[in-house]
Amino acid sequence: MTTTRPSARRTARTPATEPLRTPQARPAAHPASNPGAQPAAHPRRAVVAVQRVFGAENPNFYLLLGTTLFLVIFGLVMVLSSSSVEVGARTGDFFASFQRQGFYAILGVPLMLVASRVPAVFWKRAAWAALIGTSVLQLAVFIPGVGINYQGNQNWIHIGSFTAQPSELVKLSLALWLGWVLAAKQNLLGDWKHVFIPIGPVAAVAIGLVLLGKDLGTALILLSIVLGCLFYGGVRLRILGAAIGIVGFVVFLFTRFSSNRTNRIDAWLSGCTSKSDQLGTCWQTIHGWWGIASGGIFGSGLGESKVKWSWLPEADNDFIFAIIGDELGLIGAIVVLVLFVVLALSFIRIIRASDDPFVRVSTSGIMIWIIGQAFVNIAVVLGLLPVLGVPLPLISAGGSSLIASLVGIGIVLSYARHTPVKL
Amino acid sequence: MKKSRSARARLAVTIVVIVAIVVIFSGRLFDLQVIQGPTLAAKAQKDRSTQVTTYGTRGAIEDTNGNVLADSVDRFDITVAPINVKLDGDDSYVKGVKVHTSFESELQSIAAITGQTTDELRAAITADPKANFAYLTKAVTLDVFTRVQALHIPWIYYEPHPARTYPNGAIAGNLVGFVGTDGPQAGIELKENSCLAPTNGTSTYEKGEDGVRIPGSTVTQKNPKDGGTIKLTIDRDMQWFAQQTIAQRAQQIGAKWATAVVVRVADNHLMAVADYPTVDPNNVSAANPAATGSRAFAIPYEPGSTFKAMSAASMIDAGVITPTTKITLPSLYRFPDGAYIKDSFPHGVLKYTTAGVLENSSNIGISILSEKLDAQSRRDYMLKFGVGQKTAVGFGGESSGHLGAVSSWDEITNRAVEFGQGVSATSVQVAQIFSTLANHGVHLPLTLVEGCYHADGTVTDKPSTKATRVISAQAADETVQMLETVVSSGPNSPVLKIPGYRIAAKTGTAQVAGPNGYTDDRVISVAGIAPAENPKYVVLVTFGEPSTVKVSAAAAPAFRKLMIQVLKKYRIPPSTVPAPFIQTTW
Repeated sequence: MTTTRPSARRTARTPATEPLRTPQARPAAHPASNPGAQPAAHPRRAVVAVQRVFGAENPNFYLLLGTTLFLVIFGLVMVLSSSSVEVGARTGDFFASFQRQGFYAILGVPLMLVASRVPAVFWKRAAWAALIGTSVLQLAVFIPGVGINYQGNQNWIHIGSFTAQPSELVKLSLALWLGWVLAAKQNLLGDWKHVFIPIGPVAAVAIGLVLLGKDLGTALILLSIVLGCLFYGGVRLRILGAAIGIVGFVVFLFTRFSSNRTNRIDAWLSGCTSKSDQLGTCWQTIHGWWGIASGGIFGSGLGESKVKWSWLPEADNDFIFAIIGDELGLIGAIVVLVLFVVLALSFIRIIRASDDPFVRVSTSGIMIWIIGQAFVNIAVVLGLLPVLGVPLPLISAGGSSLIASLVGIGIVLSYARHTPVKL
Repeated sequence: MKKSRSARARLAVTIVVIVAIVVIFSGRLFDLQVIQGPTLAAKAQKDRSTQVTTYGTRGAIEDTNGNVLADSVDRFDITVAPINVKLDGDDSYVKGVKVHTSFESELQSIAAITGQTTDELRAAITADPKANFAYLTKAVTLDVFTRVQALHIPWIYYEPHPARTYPNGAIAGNLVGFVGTDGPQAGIELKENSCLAPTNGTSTYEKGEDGVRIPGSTVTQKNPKDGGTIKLTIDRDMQWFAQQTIAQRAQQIGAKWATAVVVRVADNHLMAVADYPTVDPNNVSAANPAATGSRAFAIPYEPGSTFKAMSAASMIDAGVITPTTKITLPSLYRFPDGAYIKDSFPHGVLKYTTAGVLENSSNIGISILSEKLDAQSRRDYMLKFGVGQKTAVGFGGESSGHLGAVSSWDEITNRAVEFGQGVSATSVQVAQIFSTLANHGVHLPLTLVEGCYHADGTVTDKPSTKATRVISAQAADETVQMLETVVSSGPNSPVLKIPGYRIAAKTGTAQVAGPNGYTDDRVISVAGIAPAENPKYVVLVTFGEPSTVKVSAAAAPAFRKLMIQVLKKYRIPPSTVPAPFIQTTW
């Protein structure tokens, strides 16, 4: 990627607003191929067609794709390491979680690549339908026999022998839908009524459905997506500020009404120092810390974590970052942080490169979702936030999360393909 | 749409915020992994860790030829963590297929192997269901251990429990002693415990939340150190023969007890110290409680005429008599108060030399001779021969015997100590007297333990070899020559003689004191040195309170049998020079 980047920049500069065309990139990509004579018209179109399918995309595309694939493969390794002991003790098959996660990756990566081939206009048209469709799926979690309650969260449904979390798809469709709405209202965002209608009620319904299932973590992510999209959609800061104030108050009230949440938050606020907290609500946090602390600078070595021997609940899921910190140390943990920063930068580059408000807003929604959720997850593991139960995107075990994230990134990749590079 | 400046600014803010968050995260990671890291990691490790004792092996006890008399074997305690027991049974996986085993059938499987009842096992487990530790059974063999282990029951644990075995059974059981549940109880096991005892080590391992031992997490704080091997001077085969010989003879003559001691003259090493009755350390509870130690070391008795050899040697050394000093013996040795000493055989006036007194074991003769040396000097000689003090062996429960101060001696005792009455000694003390005579008057420390051999090749607890001259070589040699007459021409000559060898010996028939003076019971003994011209071995046999024959002649067959075995076993060549003539009468 580093070798194609400067040349791509140069070629892109001459036709300022023209999208990057493969024929122009060709001399740089193939300096040896007959530089003097231009081929005849008909064969040249055939070459173009082939190169459009297989040819080099712009650097943002590869930056995002490369980082994503690295995180997915890294995630598979860490899922294997963090789950094998526990799943082996439970089922006798040490590879069960890894194989399931591998299957989701094998399903998700092609889906991402397919999504990256779809024109942006398709997503714009599908936004409404996607939001309605995923909300209906989210409703299905309340149907007895279809919905599943896991650790107090009514947030799963059966699909054959698999289980799925429709709320992950709601995150994606909400980002798309917000892109569509804010793009359509591009010139009306100065008026708070236009900002509020229809975004307010629709978002409230979508988040409300998740909250009904008592999944506060996911609801907070959805809320962040909504606020993020408003922010990047160009809504005035004072309207945004008011919205944040109201939402913040509601969230506060909500946490106070659930004793479970209150306990967790109080324990977190007290720093997990009391013995009863350590054996109760802080068990996970404390063992997460212990895992990270055991890593030191260079890590205890891949596979060497000891907290994964049934001490740390959800070691392959919400607390996988603790296992990363344990086995790969400070260096490994910071590499993961840097990878998410790189992911964020590639999202921002794609946003900046685009003039289409739909592309800009929906990309920022997906960015807020993936990067925000990653940061929330890591903050929870580090004890900087109370336990919220959100997985680490692309890395944690979990099919719905992985596939939804990959499809979301696939959509952003499709934007990247059709956007000229501008820096 | 034209991108507004605010949109660019908002993206720039985003980058700043992201970088800020990552910086905070990195700081927190640095805090957790580097600053607090070692403390938290140590706390976590402590929380996961379980300490276990690793056992060293108790050292073996061997005879002088390396035959093992006591050894350690591996036994195992089967323990349980009641808190981990699931009363609804356990799931296991056989090739990925889940198998459920009920608690009851688990108990039955264990019971079938350990031979306990399921009720016993259940009681052990349910006594305190919250406990982390309880014993199911103790000290099972490797076979039982491996079969229980093969059940793969998750709440069962094991501890090695080293146990003791005595492959030679009762051979030297009196010396080796035994180890009880609370540690060593008797004999060398107790005396040399500091050498034999292993130092247990400790190690810790980390466990999973479900109690599984995490592979590779074992940390050894201290390695166990095996105990050293104690090598005895005892010769197992000779010990066996001595035990057999005295046991057989004791039963024939109805003796209550018997001892036999074989000493190698050159270094005063004990080749055999036999007791009857004795103990099999493998089965201590079957033994007579009084016979669990070594009588030869522990219980003194009035030795009788065997002491006359020491008396004569002392006076020769003092220069007051010679082997041919001529004395006239009346039929009774009278004291002014009317009391008297008599001989074991009635006689008129006899004319004996010193040699004749020993040959015929005359109490009157030795009493007359003893008039030539003052009591204190005679007592000092006895002390130098080791009477009244423990031997250098220092065996557990060893007695020093009793040698009263001269001031406590009355007229009779003043003479009687010379023929071994009114004084008490243990069998090993009597044997020691004869080995000093045999060793040309030089006393070497009596030795039972050759040393403690450690795994690193060092040897500790080596016995002292400090030699002390007790009497002149001439006095000692002349005494041995006089003692030859006992075998060659004395009254017990027929039962003592061993063809081809020159043997020096002294018999003893001592009266046993009861609460009201001397009783009819006797202690009969024979102490001998072979070969007389170049002494190699001392043999002493003693029988206590025989019921059928009460004279020393009854001890002679056992002495002769044991002496023949010594001569054969240690390949002593027959004597080539005849015994010099010593005048015994005049």
